[in-house]
Amino acid sequence: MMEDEEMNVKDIFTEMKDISELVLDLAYSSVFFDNDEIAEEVHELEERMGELNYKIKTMATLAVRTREGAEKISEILEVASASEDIANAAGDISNIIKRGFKIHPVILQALKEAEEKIAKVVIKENSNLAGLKIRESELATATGEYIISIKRGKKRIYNPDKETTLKVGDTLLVRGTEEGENLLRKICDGEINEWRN
Amino acid sequence: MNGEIDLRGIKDILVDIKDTSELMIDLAYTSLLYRNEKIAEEVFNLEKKMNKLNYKLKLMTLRAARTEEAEKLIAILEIANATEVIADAALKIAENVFREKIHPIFIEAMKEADEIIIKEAVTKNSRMIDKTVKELNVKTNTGMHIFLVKRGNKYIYRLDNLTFKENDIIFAEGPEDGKKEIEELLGVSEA
Repeated sequence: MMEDEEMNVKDIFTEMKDISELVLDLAYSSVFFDNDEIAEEVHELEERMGELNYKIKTMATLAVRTREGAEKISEILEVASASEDIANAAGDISNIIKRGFKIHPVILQALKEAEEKIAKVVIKENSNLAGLKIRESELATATGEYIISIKRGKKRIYNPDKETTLKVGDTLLVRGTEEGENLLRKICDGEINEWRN
Repeated sequence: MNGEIDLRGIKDILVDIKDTSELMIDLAYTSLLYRNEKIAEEVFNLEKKMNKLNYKLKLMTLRAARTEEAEKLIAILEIANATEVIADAALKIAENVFREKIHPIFIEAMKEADEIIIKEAVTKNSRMIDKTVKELNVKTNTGMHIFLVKRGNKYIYRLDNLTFKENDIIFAEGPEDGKKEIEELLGVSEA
């Protein structure tokens, strides 16, 4: 992540869009796995969104000198505030976990049947994935699974970038299809060793 | 219907509102990226659908409280409310289509985002022709998620049983690396 001082409107906007997508996946994951830690991360991302939205508004106000400019920038601000709304909604979903509500089984069933499924997989010792960077692993294009986060020991890496190296014991939180999940599981178990093009 | 507790119905609606709210976000950004009023209108239609689904879901959930533990049902209402907020946010994004000109920063940011959106046509030589999304396993094979197809003047987002035809315009979202893979499937480039 860039230092905040160096960010321009575009950078902030890009981060907001990325967070708005990530945070929703995380929120549903926190419910699906009844996981406080993920719920807490959703909460932190929600706060980050608030900061970013404030920042983008301040910058836009300072940058604008004409009426035309103001009209143009207001579109960006509208969309930015909508992505903050999405993060807030995600926060409300993960609050189900933070507040300790019991989850009715129909919710879990629904999350299982939804088009995009969330899963957790662990990279085993004999998996060829270990040691590869995400870019080199070609997981997204070979399995359709998108890595939402990596849990490594006590640390969790959210929205890992392509240069992140995968390691034995990493727990991946992924989003994709059922076939993709099965394929990825076999890759992580070391049952499938060739999957790249 | 009267007084019956319909857990399966609740589950089906939950699946529908989750999928629809995510589809709405994709459509909203797409409408803006391509300055497409028709796609924006689909977002408006889906928002109406979401309102109806949410109402139904809440009603069914309250009914279920007669036999189910009320405490376990609260989470369903929370999800219903949250997806309503998301649908409204998508609407707010899509409404910007009707402004005069798109801000260049917006297009640049969409290109740099972790997940990109692409729009391309199915060519004559494509392996997709006469096949469904499921048969092609598009997501698993390319990493890209096709969420919208334009055929002639029609926009189709219920893709379960749709078989692709030449000249269909597909809208897909996914990682940048997926672009090459899906272009190969579309017959745009040779593998």
